[in-house]
Amino acid sequence: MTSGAHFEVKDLSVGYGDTLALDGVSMSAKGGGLIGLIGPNGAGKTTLVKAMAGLLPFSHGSIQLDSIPLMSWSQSAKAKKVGYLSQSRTVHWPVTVERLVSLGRIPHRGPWDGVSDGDLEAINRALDFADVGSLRTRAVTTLSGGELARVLLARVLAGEPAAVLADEPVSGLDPGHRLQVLEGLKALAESGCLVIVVLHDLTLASRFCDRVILLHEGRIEADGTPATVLVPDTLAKVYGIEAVTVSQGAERAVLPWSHI
Amino acid sequence: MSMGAAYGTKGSREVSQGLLLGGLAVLVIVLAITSLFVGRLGIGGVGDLLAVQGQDPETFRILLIEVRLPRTLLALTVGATLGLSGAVLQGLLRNPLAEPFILGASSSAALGAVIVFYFGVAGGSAFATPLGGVAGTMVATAALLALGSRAQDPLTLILAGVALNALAAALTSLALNLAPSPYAALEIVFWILGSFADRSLDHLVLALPLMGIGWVLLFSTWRALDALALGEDAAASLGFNLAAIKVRAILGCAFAVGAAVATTGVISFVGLVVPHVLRPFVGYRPSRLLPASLLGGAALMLAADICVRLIDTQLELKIGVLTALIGTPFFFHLLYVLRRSGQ
Repeated sequence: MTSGAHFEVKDLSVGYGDTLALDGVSMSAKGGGLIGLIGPNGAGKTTLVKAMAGLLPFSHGSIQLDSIPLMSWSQSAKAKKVGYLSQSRTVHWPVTVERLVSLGRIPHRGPWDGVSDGDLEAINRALDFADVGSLRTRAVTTLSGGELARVLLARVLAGEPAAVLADEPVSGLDPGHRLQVLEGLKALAESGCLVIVVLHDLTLASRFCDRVILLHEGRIEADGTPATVLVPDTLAKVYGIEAVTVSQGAERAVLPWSHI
Repeated sequence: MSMGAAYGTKGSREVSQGLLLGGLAVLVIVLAITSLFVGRLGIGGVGDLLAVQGQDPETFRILLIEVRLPRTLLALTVGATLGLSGAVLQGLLRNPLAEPFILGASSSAALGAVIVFYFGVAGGSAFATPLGGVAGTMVATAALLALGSRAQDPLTLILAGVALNALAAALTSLALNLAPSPYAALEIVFWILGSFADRSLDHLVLALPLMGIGWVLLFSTWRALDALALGEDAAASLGFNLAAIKVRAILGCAFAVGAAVATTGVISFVGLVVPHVLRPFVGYRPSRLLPASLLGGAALMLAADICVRLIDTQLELKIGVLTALIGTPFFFHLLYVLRRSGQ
């Protein structure tokens, strides 16, 4: 995967009608460690990643990608640079897994280009990464929810983007595949790719993320390492929960325990 | 999983693009030639025609060039238009029930043409009627996209089509009521039933450039249709300007379907049946479905037009009636399959 994406979000506000989904959010993000975007339902997580992917107009503030305003990027250059994994897992036609994943190469191919050797290699790497190589000839309609989630992630990775914005990539996956996907995304991030994942699972966020950004009611409530963000007072305020911390060697993870 | 479930997984029937398009092209050519030599009024097969040629070469020329040829070429181009626009609308809206007739685009085209034809809008220019059809389709398609392109349930869009069909029918009835000519009602009703009979080369010359513009615009959406299988956000993130794609699809449908309907009346369900039948053969890829549906629509229309001339009825069966008779059960079948798959 290529590296070098750098997002700079300043005072970003996004509204849906009269409702403000994001209210003056500022953050900076670059590759090197896995970034988790967490927060309760309706906190603005999906809105933030969609705005960063250039899919939402915003009323106030700015987003820069590699020091260039996002809106100044051509759509094809932005598509090569930023891979976006939508929360929706609807695929509308029963194409094969391999064809679906190959859609990720669209930004790299001219309208009349066939699939090159380079494209095939990238597709194969993405299929292997998501552990779906054995499904390549299956119609996507025949996959389980977890298999489909991994195939859709492979579609994003096939584009070899410098930044991956993944909206809930592990929801619906079994524990084994959750760990496998997050281990892969963490390795990807450590190779220099900017990886931002929206997560609901605080245990996984505390275990895998190098940095977590906690959104609450459209604002950033806390931003830092899991150890500094996922602290009792903050969790009580934002989620209304009490959590326990479990340790395994040098690593620690937060386990939501009871509702306050 | 949306539409996919409706198709099940009956194993791949995909064939190579060259073989499929080549086969369909040969079928279109064979049917087009057959269509030139099939007719009524005592002059039917090749033998009759050759006899006419021997006795009266001028009658033969008129019959072949001025009567049969326009009919054949209109059936070919209108069928191609309906097949192609059905494939584009289904890909764009990710809905296998989308097609110009069901979505009300065809009846809106008819309404536009009726208004222009019977009320002498645009000063009686020969292009006025097809352009009326174009305007009618444009309004209908734009309204549909505004209403239903984000609808998760495919039936929501169909309901929007039902509303548009009802509105177009009501306004056409109003036009009939107010039409200055007492014969207008009968003429309009017969014309709306859809037919290729009694059309001249002039009709074709008027309609063809508009249909051609429509085809180019419709084909220009092909690449985005594949990405749209993933939904609008994912397609936009792959670099497609969806607003521009939708405008091209609206204008493409407007020019192609508007001109087709204004020339031949409303011919239903071709845009539904053709893409549905051909989809497994292209591996369910929306982009590859476009040229196949263009040729498939032409073949189906030519075959249907040959049928209406061969079926022995006192008055020639209108082709729109035949396609409706075949298409309606097909539509019911698709609805049933979609409902069963939880749509």
